[in-house]
Formats: sequence, C-alpha cells, structure tokens
Amino acid sequence: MIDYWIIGISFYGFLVFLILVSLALRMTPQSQRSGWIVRMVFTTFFIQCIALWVFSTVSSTVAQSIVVIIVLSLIFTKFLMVLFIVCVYSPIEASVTLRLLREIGNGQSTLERIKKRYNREAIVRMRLVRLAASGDVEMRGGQMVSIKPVPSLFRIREMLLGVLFWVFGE
Amino acid sequence: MLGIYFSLLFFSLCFVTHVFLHRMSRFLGMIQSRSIFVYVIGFIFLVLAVTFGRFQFPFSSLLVFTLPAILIVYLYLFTVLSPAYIPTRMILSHVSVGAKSQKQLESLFSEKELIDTRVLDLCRAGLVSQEKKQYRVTKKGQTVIQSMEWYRRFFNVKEIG
Repeated sequence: MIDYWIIGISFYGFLVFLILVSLALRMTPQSQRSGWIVRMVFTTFFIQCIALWVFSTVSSTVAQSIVVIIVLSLIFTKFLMVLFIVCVYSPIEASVTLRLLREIGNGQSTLERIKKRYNREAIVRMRLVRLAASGDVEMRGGQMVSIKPVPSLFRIREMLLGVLFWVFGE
Repeated sequence: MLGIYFSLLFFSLCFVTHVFLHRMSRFLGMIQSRSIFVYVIGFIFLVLAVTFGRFQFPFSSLLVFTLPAILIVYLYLFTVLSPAYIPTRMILSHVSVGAKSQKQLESLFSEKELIDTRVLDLCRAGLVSQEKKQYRVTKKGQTVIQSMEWYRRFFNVKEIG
C-alpha cells in the first residue's frame, strides 16, 4: 500500500511540474526559460510537500510512513524532472543536431544552403543570449564575462557532464 | 527498505561494470555503445528479484534502478560517445577563465565540426539520407521532426538550436 502512495505522489508531483512548466513556458520569452524551469522545480517541491501534509491528515497509512513516502517520492519526482529537462527540454530547445534535421526537413538540402541560414555565428549568438538571460554571463565593454557564483541550469549540466567525462576517461 | 537498498547497490554495480566495459572496449577497439546493455541485463535481473524476492516496495525498487539508468544511458550515448562537442559547454569554460568577445568565441568553433560532423551523425542514425551533395530527411527523420513540431507548438518555442 505504501508503495502505491510513493509511486502515486511521485507521478502526481511530476504532473504538477509539467503543467506548471507548460504554463510558464507558454508565457515566458524563449531566452528566459531556463530560469523559469528552475523556479518550477522549487514550486513543485512546495506543492508536493503541502499535498503530503494533507494526505497524512486524511490517511493513517500515509501518516505512519510519512518520512519514507516524503523522501522517496521527492527523490523520484526530482529524477523525473531531471529526465524531462535533460532528455526533452534541452535537446529540443538547444540541440544543434535537431535544428539541422529541421533545416534539412524544411528543404535546405545542401550544406551550403544550411550554413547560409544556420551557421557558427548564429549558434554562438543564440547561446550567448540564453546564457545572458540565465545570468551566467554578462556583456561588459563589448566582452562577455562570467558572473554567476551560484549554479544555474547550464552550470549544473556542465558539472554533471564533467563528472561523466572524467569517470569514462573521455 | 531492503529492496530500495538492494536496487541502489545493484545500480551502482551496473554503473561500475558499465564504466569498466566502456574503458575495456575502448582499449580493445570494440564498439563502446554496446556496454549499455549491462543496464538491460540488470533490469531483467531486478524484475526477477522483485517478482520472487518479496520486497516491501517492489515498484519503488524498480524506479530506484530505472530512473538513474535512463539518465546515464542518455548522457552516455548523446554526449560521452558523441564526436561533436557541446557549444554551450565550450563557451562557459572559455568565458569563466577571462572576458571574451563574441568574435573570439566564434573562432573557437569550426563550421566543419559544428555542422558537417552533426549532419554525418544524422546520416549514421538513419534520420537523413545523402545522394551526392543533397540531403533528404528519411521517414524515421520525419517522425522526429513531427514530434519536435508538436513540442514546439505546445510550448510556444519560436527558435530551435
């Protein structure tokens, strides 16, 4: 029975996150979205905690095992969120490869034609706009400087990848 | 809670085996991507253990293994094994050691590596076909584009890439 509660609350939390993200993303300019995703992760955490508190007052099963349910369901929800951000959100919004696939699908059939629409300059510019909006970099006197002391979505991903590359010896 | 600890331990074991197989296959010149099958074998073993082992939290035990395994496999296949580098990662690492202009950052990349390598990747994945210098999206590629378009419309994404 407790197992069903853990799974149920985990997926409920993830569903809340998806609804909040879809609402936030529809209303936010594209360059500022990474900041909103992080805000939604924390908002979902609070909504889930409130829901667990309500469930614990209604159900004796939940009340008896509240610590186990809270810890496991929060961990699972966070993992589902990370999977959504890493495997769906990031590649579709920022993957060069998927953009190239779309360009070819739109009729840009040679490398020369692709590079006229989507090239090194466009790729760097789009990333700088995103990094500036998330507060990772700032333009000072015509130069981009790193300003963020706390981890952002981009820096967390960079750290995670750094660890993986080190572990796999690449 | 025993099932949860068992799954955690089992995932760690699979991960260590994966790293070992990856390093071994690179040393022996074999296909590295096959090392991810260790998670498939691990998952089958865990399902059997959960079915016959009377775990207190059977579904949670499976999730403890499955969620990190999916994340590791995805990152392994699309970043660790990918020959193409990640532009954002390069930009961040260069900007964090000193101020750079946009032109200086652009000079870090060559279009051959940014564009040509990735188009080759798409051909290898069967999403794009090549005839002389012309590229065409395959049926498999069309399916990926359609799901991307659905996402783009749903989340109001104007610019991809």
